[in-house]
Amino acid sequence: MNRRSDTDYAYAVARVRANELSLLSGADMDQLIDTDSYDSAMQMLSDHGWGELENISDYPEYLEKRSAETRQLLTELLSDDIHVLDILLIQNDMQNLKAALKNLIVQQDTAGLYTQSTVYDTDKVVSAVAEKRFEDLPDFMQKPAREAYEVLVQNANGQLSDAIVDKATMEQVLKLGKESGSAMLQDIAERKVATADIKIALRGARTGKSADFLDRSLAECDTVSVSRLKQTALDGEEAVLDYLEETSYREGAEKYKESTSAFEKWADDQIMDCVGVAKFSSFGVEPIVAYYVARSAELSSVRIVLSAKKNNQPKDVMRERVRELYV
Amino acid sequence: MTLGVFFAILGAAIAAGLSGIGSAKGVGIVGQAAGGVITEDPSKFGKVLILEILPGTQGLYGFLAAFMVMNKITAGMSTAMGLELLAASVPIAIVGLWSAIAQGKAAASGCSIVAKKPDQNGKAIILAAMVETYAVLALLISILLINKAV
Repeated sequence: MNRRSDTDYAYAVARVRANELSLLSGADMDQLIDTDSYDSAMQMLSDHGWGELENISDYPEYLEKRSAETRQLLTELLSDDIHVLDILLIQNDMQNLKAALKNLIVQQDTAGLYTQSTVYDTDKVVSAVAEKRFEDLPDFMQKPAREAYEVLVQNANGQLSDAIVDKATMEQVLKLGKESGSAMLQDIAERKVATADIKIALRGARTGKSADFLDRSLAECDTVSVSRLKQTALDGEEAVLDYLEETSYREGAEKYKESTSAFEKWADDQIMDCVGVAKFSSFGVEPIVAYYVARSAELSSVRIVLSAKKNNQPKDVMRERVRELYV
Repeated sequence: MTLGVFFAILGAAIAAGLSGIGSAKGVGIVGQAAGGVITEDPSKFGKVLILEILPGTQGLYGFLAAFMVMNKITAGMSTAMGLELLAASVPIAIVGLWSAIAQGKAAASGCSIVAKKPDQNGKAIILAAMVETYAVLALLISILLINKAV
């Protein structure tokens, strides 16, 4: 990846630092959870500088507006180097690919089906799949798209079709991490792939998936052994957890024993853990990537809280689910 | 022109030239960071301006050393004298170049402090100013050596 020298990001990092002031802190999140209603939670966000509530019909629209603002800022700051975010966005492209493939088999309402926070043009990906012109897809998507399509058509196996695309996603994430030349981005890629593999192994063990399914789902990485994960997944959940105790992901095993939501939170927080180092950098692309991760985690947490508030869920549930924040 | 005069002029040129390049680079780095802070909050201009100025001093030190060397130049100066003045210019030339760039980076980090915690800008200035020590020491040595040249 051809990158500028670190000091060339001085302007961008300074702007990101100034914008970090508007990120919600842990105390702010507690306050948001403690608000007595959905409306007062929305009002609190508005008071915090998240924008006017007028003409906002529901919270997803409000959050999408906030997300678009972040994307616009990062596009402005990174300009030609925007591809450093590919490692975080490529999963959205692959989600769109899965949705488009399924849409070939079962026609469904496409409104809200595809995300626009992607590396590649969503409309082009969707139309290429709709017309079965897989050769028009980006190179790394072509093979998994064909394979997944064949599995869907021949076996009507949606799970395996998704697994094939997910594995290709993780392989691409790892490749982007290695090409980035940034230790932080490599760490993000490695942990993304490792946690995805761990999730697959645990789910596979719980639902009794075959060796062939696991082979087609697990992506190679450096910090967990795919062959050990596969073997232990065939032996059962306990075997997977015992294996995780031998790796740097032992905390994940403890969280899994605690509860499913604690484990999911741990898996999501892995990325936040990686970007913590960027808090102390004044140059380089890392603080900018970290800001994107921070905004994404903040949006996820706010989405969890607003959705829970709307459905009158207890505050303890919200506290258990909100993600680790950057500030 | 004698060889001695040539060496003395070369000394003055590297003193002013290299430290000037360092300052230009250092001020440029802080300028980018300061621009980022001001884009988000123009009221912080005063605070980042002090940080912006800091790496510029090495260029002045180089100019001062060059001026002193030029004052020593005489018609028919010996080669030995010229080489002495060239050697005397080396400390501020090299230290000026590197310290200005290093100070620029430290001051750019200070801009991040101003962006996030404006009330702590004094600490940001102190951290960046620490680098100045070595430029001042190099200037002192260059001045002493220029005065020693006979």
